[in-house]
Amino acid sequence: MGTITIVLSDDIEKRLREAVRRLYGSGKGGLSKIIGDALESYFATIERSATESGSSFKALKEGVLVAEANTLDELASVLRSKGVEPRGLRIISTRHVKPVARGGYRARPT
Amino acid sequence: MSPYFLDNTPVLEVILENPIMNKRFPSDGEALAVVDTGYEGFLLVPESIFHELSLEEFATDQRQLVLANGLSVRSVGTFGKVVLSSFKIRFDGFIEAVHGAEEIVAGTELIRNFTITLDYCVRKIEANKCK
Repeated sequence: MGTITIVLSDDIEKRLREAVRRLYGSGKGGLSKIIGDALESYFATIERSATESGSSFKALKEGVLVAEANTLDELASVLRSKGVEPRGLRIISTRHVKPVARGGYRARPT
Repeated sequence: MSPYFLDNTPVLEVILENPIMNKRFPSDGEALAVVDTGYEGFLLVPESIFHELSLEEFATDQRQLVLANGLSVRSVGTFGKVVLSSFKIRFDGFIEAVHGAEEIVAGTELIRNFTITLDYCVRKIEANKCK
């Protein structure tokens, strides 16, 4: 267990203490718990972000890998250099596309 | 130009590209994309724009989009590029089309790259790329 001294603005400190009181009451350890949880969540967010920014793209022709690159521009360049006909290519990415997603308020069927 | 309000709706100026087929939309200038935090995808476009970018010439993927009223619609999509010239940045992501869509919609997969502040009091939007 480590001990860290940090400096927060008055507003953040007030909100933090209110959240601790609301979630953990006045018992001991609430402040450390909420800071720990918040940092876990923050690390997960930035790690996810770093992983996705390093996503790559693959071009498949009839199921066979014909090119691979880190960006679509690079993929286009590889395909051109190999003289691959782009029609019918399947472009896939390491970035996951959810099979079902919320469509928002602007997407509406006719 | 940075994002701004159009009739109280936040919009971004974007250029869409299919670098593999060397296509761009619009052919000149920029198009408006509505920012919709209720849309979980990257970019939703009308079928006509999907066609103009020749994205339908790839083997496309389909998925379901659940609308606010609980109904689902089928979207067709593949990967393309969005250029935000005001930020001098570009993103690759899943661009999808839905039958009947009439506008370009930027969803959370795209805007998660930014800190966006909507100030309706002075009708100003501030957007900065995540550090």
